[in-house]
Order: sequence, then C-alpha cells, then structure tokens
Amino acid sequence: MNHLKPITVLLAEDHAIVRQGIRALLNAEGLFSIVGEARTGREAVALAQRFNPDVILMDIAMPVLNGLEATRQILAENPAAKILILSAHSDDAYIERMSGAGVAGFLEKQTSAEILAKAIREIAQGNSFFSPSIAQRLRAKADASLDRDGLPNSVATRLTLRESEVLQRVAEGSTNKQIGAELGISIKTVEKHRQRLMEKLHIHDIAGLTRYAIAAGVIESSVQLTVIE
Amino acid sequence: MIVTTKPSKTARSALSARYRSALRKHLNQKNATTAPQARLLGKSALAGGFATLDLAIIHEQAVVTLSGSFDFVAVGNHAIKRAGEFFTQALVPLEADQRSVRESNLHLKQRNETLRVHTAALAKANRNLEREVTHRKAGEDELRKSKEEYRTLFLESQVMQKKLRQLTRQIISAQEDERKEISRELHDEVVQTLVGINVELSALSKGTSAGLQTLRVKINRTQRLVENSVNAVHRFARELRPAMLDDLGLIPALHTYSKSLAARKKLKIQLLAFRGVEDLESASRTVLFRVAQEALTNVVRHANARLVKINITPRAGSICMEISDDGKSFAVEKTIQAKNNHRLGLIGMRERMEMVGGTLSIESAPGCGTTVRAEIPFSR
Repeated sequence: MNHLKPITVLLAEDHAIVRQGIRALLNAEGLFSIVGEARTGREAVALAQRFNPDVILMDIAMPVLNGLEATRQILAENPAAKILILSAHSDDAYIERMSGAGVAGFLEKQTSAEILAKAIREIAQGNSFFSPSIAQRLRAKADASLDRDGLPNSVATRLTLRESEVLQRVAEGSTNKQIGAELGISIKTVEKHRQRLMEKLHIHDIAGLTRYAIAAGVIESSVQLTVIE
Repeated sequence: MIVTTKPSKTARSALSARYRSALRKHLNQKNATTAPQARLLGKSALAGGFATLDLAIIHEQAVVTLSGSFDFVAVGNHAIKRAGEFFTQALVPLEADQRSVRESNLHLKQRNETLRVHTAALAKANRNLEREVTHRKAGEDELRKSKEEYRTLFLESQVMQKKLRQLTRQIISAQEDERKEISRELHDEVVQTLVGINVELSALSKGTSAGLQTLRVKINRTQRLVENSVNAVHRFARELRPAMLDDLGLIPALHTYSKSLAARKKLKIQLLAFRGVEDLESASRTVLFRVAQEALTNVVRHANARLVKINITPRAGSICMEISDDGKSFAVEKTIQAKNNHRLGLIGMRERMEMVGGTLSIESAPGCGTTVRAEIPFSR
C-alpha cells in the first residue's frame, strides 16, 4: 500500500447523514480521499467517469437510477472499476444479483462502520470483500454443496451440535420457550446457545439466521425456480 | 212543414169542386182581382195535405170541365193565360210552404254538416283520448315496473350497504389489530433498545475516568444495541413492504419469500415465472406479490399441503399467475359469504386485482386442492 498516495473514493449514497458519517469515518483513518459524492445513480455514473476513483462505494436504493443500474452502467463503460456495495438489504437475491453484475464487494450497512476501511483497502488492492455474515453464508453454501458430494459438513464443525439444533429451530421460527421444551433445556440455556451461535456467525437477526440456515442446509428449503423467457 | 197524412178522396173532390167554381168565377170576371181566392184555395190545399202535383191535376180537370163554357183555344180572349195566372196564384202558398221546407231542409243539411264536422272532430278527439289513455296506461305500467325495479335495486343496495358496513368494520378491526401488533413490537423492541442506547451513552459521557479499554467495550455494546434496533426496524419495513420488489423485481421477491416460507413450514414450492412479468407496472407487480403472499399464507394456515406451484405465464393479452396446492379444499363461496375475518384475505385479493384492472378466481375441490388464478391485462 502506498501511504503517500491516498486511495480515491467516490461515495454514492442518497442520505446526507450516512454520507457525513462515512466521510468522518474515512477521514479519521487518514488513508482515503473522497473525490466525489453522488446522491443519485445518475450522478454516480457521471462522477465515476470524471474522477475514475480507486473504489466506488455504492448504495442500492437511490432515486433517479438505483445502485444496481448505476453499477451496470459504470462496469459496462469501465470493467476495471472497483465497486463496493453498501446495502441495507443482504438477501441472497441481492448478493447474487450484485455479484453477477461484477461488483468487488458487498457490505451490510448496519455492520459496515467497523470494517468499512478494511473493506475499501482490500478492494483497492484487487481483492473481494463481503460482510462476515454474508461471507459465512457464502461459505455455508459452498460447504452445503460439498456436503452433497459426501464430504464432511463443515457447518457442524463450526457450531456445536446443540448450537446447530438451536439454530435450526430459531430459523424455523420457534420461540425460546418452544425450543427449550423441545430440547429439554431451560430458556436461559437456549438464550446462551443462541447468543453464542450468533457471535460465531456474525449474524444478529432471525431473518439472517434463517438465510444462513437455508444456505448451510441446516434447514431445508425446497424451492425450485424456473424462469421462462 | 211536412204533412204525412194523404188527402182523402172526398176532400179531393170537394177541393176539386171549389177550385172549378172559383176558376169559373175568375174567368168570368175579366178585370177583377181573384188572386186572394186563388191563394185561399192554395192554402186549403196545403192544409188538406195536397201537393203541387195534386193541385195541377185538379187545375187540369177544372180546365177540361170548363172547356165547354170557355174557349181556351181562341187567341183573343186569353182564357188559357188567365187560368194559368189563377193556377199560379193558387200554387203560391204551396210553393211558399215548399220553400220553407227547402229552407229548413237546407238548414237541416247545414245542421247535419255541422253535426258531421262536430262528430268527426269528436271522433278524432275520442281517438286521441283513447290513444292518450293507452299511452298513459303503458306509462303507468312502465312506472309500476320501474318502481318495482327501483325497489329491488334499493333493497339490493341496502343489503350491499349492510355488507359494506360490516366489511368496513372488519377491515378497521383487522387494521387496528395490526397497528396494535406493530405498536407493541415497536415499543418492546425498538424503543427499549433506544432507551438502552441512551443509558449507555449517558454512562459513557460520565465515565471519563474509565480506561480506554472499558470505553471501547462500552461503545461496542452500544453499537450492538443500535444494530439490534436497525434490524428490528428493518424487519418491520420488510413486513410492510419488501424492498426487493422495487430493487430487484417480482421474481426475486417471490423467490426469496417462498424460500423463507418453505424453510419455516417444511413446504415444497415450485416457482415457474415468465420474465416478461417484470415489464408490468410497479403497482401491478405489487398486487401480484400481495396476492401470492396471501394465497401462500392461506395454504400454510389451512390447507396442510406439501406442494405448492406458482406459475406465472403469458396469455393472449394478459399475464396469468396461478397458485395451486395439493392440500385440503374449502367451500369458496361459503367462505366469502361468511361473517368472520377469514374471508377478508380472499376479498382483499379480489379487490387488489380489480384495482389494477385484473381478475381473480379461486377454485377448490376435494382431492384437487385449491387454485388461485390472478390475471392482469398486458400487451407486449
């Protein structure tokens, strides 16, 4: 990393308060130079062309042109552009769509503050970067596919048996009380397991746990999608 | 004046005799005026019921009888002319009478004519009146009929109004329940977390003497709390409206929703989707998502199904979404008519579809499960 030459960043985000926060966060690091701020996807496309920044931080939900479309246009014009998505939504469908579009990384907005600088540095160096929970999920997916080939299920190796039992039931929508009764343990113990597995997976909401559990094959989601033209 | 009785033979000969004698006298008194007598005779004849022709015959007979005493042929004495003058005078009353008859005849004729005109007018008026009556009768029938129709309509509208009122109440109470739920969750989860954050921040501002390490731990804990409340708000927003529908489209939104539901409810879902559905207007796509959501919720709640198929396919001039399951069937009409909250979802689906110009039908039969069919007009 060249300390004399800061990493140039374009910030595309429609909320002023989030822009301010990110600017403050990056300035505190002293490694970055924010060369432009865009409030719409269209502005992002124009500014990306003008400044050709090292990294573009891109929100998805923006007026006029959303982040997804802006990303497509920027990459169509300059396939070498490095785009880091900052999104409030992290469902598989978003990750798949953005990865498909060729982005370098994907961060969940709510957990981005601590790792933003790190993510930008990684991406500027040409690596990819995902939020820990997303990375876990992607790994779980890979593991699950390996598992079908008969290799050991590494999800289970990361979590204890009890934790994966609790994970399965939490993901299926059971309450702590129901889980306790089902597994024959106290509610307090269920809460402890739950807390620990959330820490291990870096996932702190039930929807996220469900997504992880499906990706890891801990619970089965048998949805078959066929798209016809 | 019209005399109906015919004069008798005796009256005829009596008059004939009087006439002959008077004529004789007239012919004898060459320069005297006998016109009054002649007229008198005429009046008698008239009174006796004799007509002009009768008097002419009497005159003829008298002339024939008197031709023995007077020379009617000789040119010099003018007898024939004087007899004629007498006859003329005798005829005057008869003539006069006939004129009056003619006049009264004429008068009568005129009266008749007037009457005919009046009758015609009356007949016409009558016909008009009849027509008017028929017309009015038809009008009255029409009025009675439309009155009955209005009454039926009125009764129907009353029933509808009652139903609508009932439905409105149900919707209001359902809405109230929903608000209560959201309010409770906001209070329990978000407000409590925010209060917690505030407490942590106060502690931080006071605890300046604490070491850097303690400070970091406390800030970290506060950040976890913020994260939690962000997640909670996020979840509400997702439940109220999936952002994915706007960001990525209907198919990813349906796919994600199906995956989460299938995982939680141990259900198999086959989703077959025509990509062109994303070209529908945003409002229509939202409606299709809500209909699918409601249909799937019903399957999970009531059908005890193992497999659900969601097919979105193009038709001529429309796009059709079918959601069919292999579970328990239900009586569609009975449920829609029922007075409980279960039907609200079904009615809501139909209302949403009609809002975007589409249609919704539900088929359910024992052994065949349930199929919800939503169709939206669409031209490529």
